[in-house]
Amino acid sequence: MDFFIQLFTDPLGFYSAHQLLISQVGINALLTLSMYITLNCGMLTLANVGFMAVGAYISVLLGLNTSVPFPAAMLIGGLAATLLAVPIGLPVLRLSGIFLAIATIGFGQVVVGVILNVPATGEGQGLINIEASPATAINYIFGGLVVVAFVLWRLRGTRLGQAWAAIREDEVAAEAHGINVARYRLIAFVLGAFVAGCAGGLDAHLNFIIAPSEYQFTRVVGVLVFAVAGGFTNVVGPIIGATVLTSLPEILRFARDYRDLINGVVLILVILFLPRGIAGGRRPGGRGRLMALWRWPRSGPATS
Amino acid sequence: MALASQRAGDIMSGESTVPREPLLRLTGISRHFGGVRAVDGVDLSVPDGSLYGLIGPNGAGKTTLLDVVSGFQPATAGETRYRGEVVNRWPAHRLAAAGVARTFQTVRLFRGMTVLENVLVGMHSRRRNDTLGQVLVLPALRKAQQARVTEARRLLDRVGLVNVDDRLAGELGYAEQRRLEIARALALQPRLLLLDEPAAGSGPPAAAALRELLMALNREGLTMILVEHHLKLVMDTCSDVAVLDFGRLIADGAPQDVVDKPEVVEAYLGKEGAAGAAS
Repeated sequence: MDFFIQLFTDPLGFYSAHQLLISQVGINALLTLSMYITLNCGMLTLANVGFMAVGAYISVLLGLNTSVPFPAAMLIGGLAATLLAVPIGLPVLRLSGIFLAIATIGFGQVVVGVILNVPATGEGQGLINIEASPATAINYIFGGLVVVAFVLWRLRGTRLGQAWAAIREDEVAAEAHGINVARYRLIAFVLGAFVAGCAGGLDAHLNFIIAPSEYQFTRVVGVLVFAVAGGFTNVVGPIIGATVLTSLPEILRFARDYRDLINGVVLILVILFLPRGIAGGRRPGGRGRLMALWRWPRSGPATS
Repeated sequence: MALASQRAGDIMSGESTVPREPLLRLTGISRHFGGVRAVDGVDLSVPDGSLYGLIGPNGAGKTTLLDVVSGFQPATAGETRYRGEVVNRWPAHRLAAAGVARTFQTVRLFRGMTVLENVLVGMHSRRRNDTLGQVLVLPALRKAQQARVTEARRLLDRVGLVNVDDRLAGELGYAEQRRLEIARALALQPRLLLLDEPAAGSGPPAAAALRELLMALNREGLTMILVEHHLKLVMDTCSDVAVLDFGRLIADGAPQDVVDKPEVVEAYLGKEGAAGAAS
């Protein structure tokens, strides 16, 4: 409760007390938006954290070894992730559904494997980022978040945004109406990689150390959970999902030992009662009903 | 190929009694799945402006043929010419942008989008790329969007879907969904429209309205291929009819001539039935 009382009565004190948490919320929101871009186009790709690692390492290495200033180093890291996404995406996006998810998980593992074996990355030890500056990082993070969220929000009604939505709803019908499905899927994948790569650079600016252990599979699952919980049918959902689930452990500090459990329960409740996420809006057909899950399976053809 | 097109050009410029190059010409089109010959050596000419009925018993290969024509399945053999161009290798989206629109046997709408949005997506290939401008909130683009919405409403009106613009497509009834598919296909401003059982699930009044719509579109010069089980609808509307059976073309021509052919009766009723009908 203290958390909310302070938030409303003493916002400035709240800001300075929770600056790191607020920054992490921003990073997670950016990562979730990068996943939203591909989910919104009907693709479950889990390469985001791999691209994040690419962006993080490149921006840190640039900062340590050259005189490139931080924002430029971050953008170069994002662009490197973007360029890498093209040759990865061309073959991988021929897959769909669970196969696409698995192939992109594989990419994330390869990135971690490369980091662990290339001396320049500090291998398993990671890199100490003396250039990091948490106090200024928060400004870049939220500046970036505002830009990304605004652009994605504006994209909705555009030719590109509408093509993505059509592909998500029905790929075959989209193709039949003149939409080059392969091309638009690649655009989504590449754009998502750019946002994830920039988020990686920002994250590295927030922490004084970057290490391969931060870019493991569990982190992608975390981002996916933010997206599913918040809803990925509009731009607000991923931000809400990342905000709620990132700050939940802080809010529930008294129950810290059970926080994974509580996270899980929250997720199950969201999926049951708000199948399109907290901010997902309406959908065709009925709502997920809790009791229906426990209905005894009947023999014979299902009638409804 | 150059020679062939030159010859076609000669014909065009020659006497008007010689038939023009048809809008769509299939030569020896086959589509095999392993040993199954879903479509087997079909030759078909669909003249510009015709309403071409494609009938045949279940499993005759009608939908597979539409899939081949619209680029969703590659032909195992044969050649498709559309507006005189060989289009065999064209991906479906390119054919669609060139004016080949279609509907689906099992309705394929963008279910989570509104009725209006479904039609707007149909305009994709003739909408200029406004993405950057829209992101930057250029006011000039608002007018273009307004024009598209007006046009979409007119198309919805045309297929008889009124006051449902903001409903989700997935919430519509089955017959309404089929009509929405037609409106969405028309949003492409097609030259050739492939309709796969548009009357399925329609009651008699809806089927009558559909017949009116097809005939009106045809009068405006839209060429259509109509796959339909409703024989009456085909007989009433189509200018030409082709009959498929086991992937082979067994008859084509004017509707009345085709239905009287013994092969057609046999395909529909079986051998004994045909004997009974003949006597």
